[in-house]
Amino acid sequence: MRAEQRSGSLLAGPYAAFLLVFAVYPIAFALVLVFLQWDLVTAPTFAGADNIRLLLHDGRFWRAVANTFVFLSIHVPLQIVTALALALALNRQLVGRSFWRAAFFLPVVISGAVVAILWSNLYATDVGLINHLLVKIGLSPVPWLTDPRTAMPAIAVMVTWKNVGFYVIIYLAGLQYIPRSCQEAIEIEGASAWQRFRYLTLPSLLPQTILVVTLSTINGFQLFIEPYVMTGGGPLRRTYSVVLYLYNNAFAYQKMGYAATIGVALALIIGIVVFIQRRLIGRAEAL
Amino acid sequence: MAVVLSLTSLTASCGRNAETHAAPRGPAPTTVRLDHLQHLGLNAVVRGRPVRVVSLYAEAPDYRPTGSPKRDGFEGIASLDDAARAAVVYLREYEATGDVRARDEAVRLLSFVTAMEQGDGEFVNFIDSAGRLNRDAPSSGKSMSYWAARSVWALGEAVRVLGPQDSTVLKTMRPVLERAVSRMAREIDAGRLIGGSTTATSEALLGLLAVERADQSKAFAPLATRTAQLLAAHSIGSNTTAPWGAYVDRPDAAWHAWGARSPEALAMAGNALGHPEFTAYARKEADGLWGRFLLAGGIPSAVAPDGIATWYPQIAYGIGPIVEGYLALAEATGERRYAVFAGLAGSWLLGANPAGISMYDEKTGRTFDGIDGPSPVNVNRNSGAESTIEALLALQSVTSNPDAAEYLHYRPVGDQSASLASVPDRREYVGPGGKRLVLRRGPRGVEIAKDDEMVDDHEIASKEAGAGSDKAAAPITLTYWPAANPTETLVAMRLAAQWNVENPGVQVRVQPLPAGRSSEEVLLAAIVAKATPDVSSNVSSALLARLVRAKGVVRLDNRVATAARLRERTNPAMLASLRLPDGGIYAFPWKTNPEMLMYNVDFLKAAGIDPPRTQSELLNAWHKLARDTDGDGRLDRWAMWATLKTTWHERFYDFYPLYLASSGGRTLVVDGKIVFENDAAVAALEVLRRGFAEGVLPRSNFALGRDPFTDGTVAMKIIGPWFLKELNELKIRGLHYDVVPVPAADGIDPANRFAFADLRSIAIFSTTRHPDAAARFVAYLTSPAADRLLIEQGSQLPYRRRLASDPRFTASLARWPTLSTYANYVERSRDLDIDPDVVEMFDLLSEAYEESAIYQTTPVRDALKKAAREARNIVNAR
Repeated sequence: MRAEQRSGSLLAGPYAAFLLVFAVYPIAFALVLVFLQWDLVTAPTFAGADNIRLLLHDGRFWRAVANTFVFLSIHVPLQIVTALALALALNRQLVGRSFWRAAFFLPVVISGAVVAILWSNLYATDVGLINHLLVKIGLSPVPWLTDPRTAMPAIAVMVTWKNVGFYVIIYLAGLQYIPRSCQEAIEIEGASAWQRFRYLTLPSLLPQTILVVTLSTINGFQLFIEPYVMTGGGPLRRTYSVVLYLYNNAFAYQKMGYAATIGVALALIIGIVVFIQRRLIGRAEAL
Repeated sequence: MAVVLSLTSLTASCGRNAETHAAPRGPAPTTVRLDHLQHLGLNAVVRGRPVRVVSLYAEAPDYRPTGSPKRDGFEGIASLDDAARAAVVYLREYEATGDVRARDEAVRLLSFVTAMEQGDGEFVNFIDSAGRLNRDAPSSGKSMSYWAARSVWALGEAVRVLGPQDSTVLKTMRPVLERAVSRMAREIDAGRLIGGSTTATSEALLGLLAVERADQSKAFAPLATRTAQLLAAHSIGSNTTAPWGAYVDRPDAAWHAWGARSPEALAMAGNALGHPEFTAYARKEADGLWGRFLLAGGIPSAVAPDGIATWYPQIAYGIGPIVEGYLALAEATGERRYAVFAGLAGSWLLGANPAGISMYDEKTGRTFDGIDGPSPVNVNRNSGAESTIEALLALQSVTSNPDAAEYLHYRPVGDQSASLASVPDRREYVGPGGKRLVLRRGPRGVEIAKDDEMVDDHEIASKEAGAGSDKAAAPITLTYWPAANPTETLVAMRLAAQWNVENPGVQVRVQPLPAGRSSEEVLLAAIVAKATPDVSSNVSSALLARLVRAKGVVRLDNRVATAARLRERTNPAMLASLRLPDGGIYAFPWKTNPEMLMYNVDFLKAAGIDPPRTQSELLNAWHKLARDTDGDGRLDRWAMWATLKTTWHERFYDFYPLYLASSGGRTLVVDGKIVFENDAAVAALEVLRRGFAEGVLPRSNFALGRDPFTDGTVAMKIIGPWFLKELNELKIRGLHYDVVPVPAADGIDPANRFAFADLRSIAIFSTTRHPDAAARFVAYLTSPAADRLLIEQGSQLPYRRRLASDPRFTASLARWPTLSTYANYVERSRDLDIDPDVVEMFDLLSEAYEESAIYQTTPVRDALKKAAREARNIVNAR
């Protein structure tokens, strides 16, 4: 038994070490930083609860939280709908199905910064492809990224495009698990395509949908590279995300303690939102 | 707790090497103090004009100003000889410091100079205590002699320093100068030295060259050339025969150390007139005769034609001209050895003399009158005008040259040679910390055989301790991070390669700043990782305050090399905003790029408008230049593009330069107080607001990588001089551009306009093990030659006083169209505040700009008020 314990410890050791160094230590570090003022260069000083008090009254932070919810409210439903639609399409017997699956997955593995630069040019008011097409059909060009009304939706569409391949894979996996017998049975009963989707496919994909909602919510809360590259948080701070605010506090203003406080707050918010989501979706599942 | 400890140790290590952050190992830079000269000053009325003069003498111990003693026949209380040279001292002081008191003193002394002119270009020398001219004494009579030559020198320097268009110069000095020069020309054209003296002729030539440097009209160039030719013919002897190239009044006359300015004047003539042969003539005395002084270990007072030296009395008037002669040669030839020799010659003033005492007192600015023998008891401790003035002239120059200043505290080792005919082939000098300098006779005169200044302090220390004393020390290596852009990397590579050749003991390894979003972030990361280089040349003011608070950088104004370069390059006003609360300069202000309004000449011409000077005219230009060229009902050509991006540094190209143009030099935060809520900021935001609201500024961002100015979409942009190089590389056919200062708000005096310039500094990080070697390298990176390379290669501007009018940079500036306009604003620029939260403040202003100007959701004043309130909260929270 002792030998078994020893070998067990030995085998768990590397992972435990990894966990300590790359998870436990940074988390503990961040929690300590919440109570410090530190500009990276000079010695940190104890700040008590100053950072927490500042956060509670910081309009910019709450504005960033609100922006993130706006983003999520567009992105998450759009993500589910597009991922599901594509998964259903790619689940059929298509010519070149493997190619299409790979093609839709490709943006997932492309650097976020590269995608952001690419889409900045697509959205460009003066020479962007999208506006070029709009003008061709007689419409006025739209300042996608510089109009406060369109900037966040534009980013949400882009992020959806980038991530959709990943969620398509999840839905495709889910589609494989729908029993063939159920599909045949519902067809024999004479259900229409819509009815088959509504009463069989969609309920069967509920676990995948929960996963997609959870993951896209968590990822959505971490929105950073797109506003960082494409808008800098503008216009009128409408695309200023929580993580962009965190980043600026950490690396532009060198307020590491406050940045850590934002990080911890963000983790709490994500936890609460995901918890609520799961409760709501779980209740729906029970029904 | 462990985490806290770990964190604390991490950051404590950023505070790091206390030793290198503390005072430097060597002596402090020598202070040049004019107090005693000021003390010698007297007010007088001469020919009905109130003037300033300098008392001839001041006797120890009370140093009360007095006149000429019975011994000299009661010549008078003050002389033109001294007043003219004192004026040169004050003019140089004004040039170096911008101190208007020095200017006023110089102008009052020059009033005396002009009052002593007799209407025909000749001068009288002495006045008595009632201000009456002494026309009778042989040393004072109306003539074109020494005092007239010094008047030409002083008046020429006034033209150079005060500017040829200065009203005082034009009204009172220039006519006198013109008459004196005409009178002088008669002597030169007759083949006669002024006053029969190479000294006087050299000094007059210095005056002509000063005018030539100032206005470059070439009006005096022919006479200066003839004067230099006449002077050049008065060298006798050779490297091997006495008196070894000395400039003498006649072939049978002795050479006098007093006023031996022929090499200085000839070296300067070689440079200013474009006659390299004059520089070669300057070398004759310097390489021949003066080289023997260096090997002999002392400077005599006179040398007979047969080479017999008279060693005493030694006076500052016999030292200063040699110091300045060597420095002029260093400037003309680019050979560092001459600067080193200038430092060694100047060390006489600080104690390297037969009496072994410092002749110059840093506390009072006094210089003792002379040494009559090899003992402290032989020192004449009086301190008259001539000694004081000549010492100050020498020290002003030598402390502004990093290579020379390092050697001011060296002493010759061993006994002084009795004869100049039999000097040793080698002479060793020893400096602070036991550093050694060995000179040897070489084919080009005296050469440097060994120089411990060029190796590491630690090596010297270990040698002193006896470790490996005879072994050649391994070279030390300095790591230098320039900015990663190709131009600056190229400049850095070239300079480092040259340095490495010249300094085998200190090798520099260039590594461009590692890739990152900005230099600040990279340097911060390096500091946290304890991986900073020895030197980095791209430190912004935004980062500097933090680096200093963390004791992360070495103070530079208390190190000899960097202090000398700061004195040579800047003035106190240029350094004022860079001083930290302890008064120190912690990063060397290297380059600055004042922004101007660049415009497309053809577009403005076609629209029938002149380049805008005020913000109303700017708005008017925006209206006239915005147009729909393809008839689709939408504007597609604009006057200017103000970006909609809110990243903090985007405000460098719209709001901030428009603000500084009207703010009278006020920035954002001064001593922790927010000062940007003012009319200048309102005016800047208001003109931008109207531009957007009236539809004449494009409310869109252009595609990444596109420059709408170069493709003709906009007619103007606010940009710095680095863009000139980009334009040159793009080679856009048909693009004619020019620049004007950024328009100020209506009613603002254009003379009170400032430009924004993102100053970049060079820092030595406290992690360096070789701070003194690094300081010397920084002084090298900021030398005139290095600055010329920066201008020529990068179309960027060194942070230098009087850059636009400095003839050393005229050709380099002319390399780029419009660059001289930019150069005019080097001293009239403002950088980011050295405030730890300056980035956040720019973010706040970006928000104000967005809300009030672009989208007009908030009135301008309200937006500014909000930004100022939040900025105050940030300041109060720290």
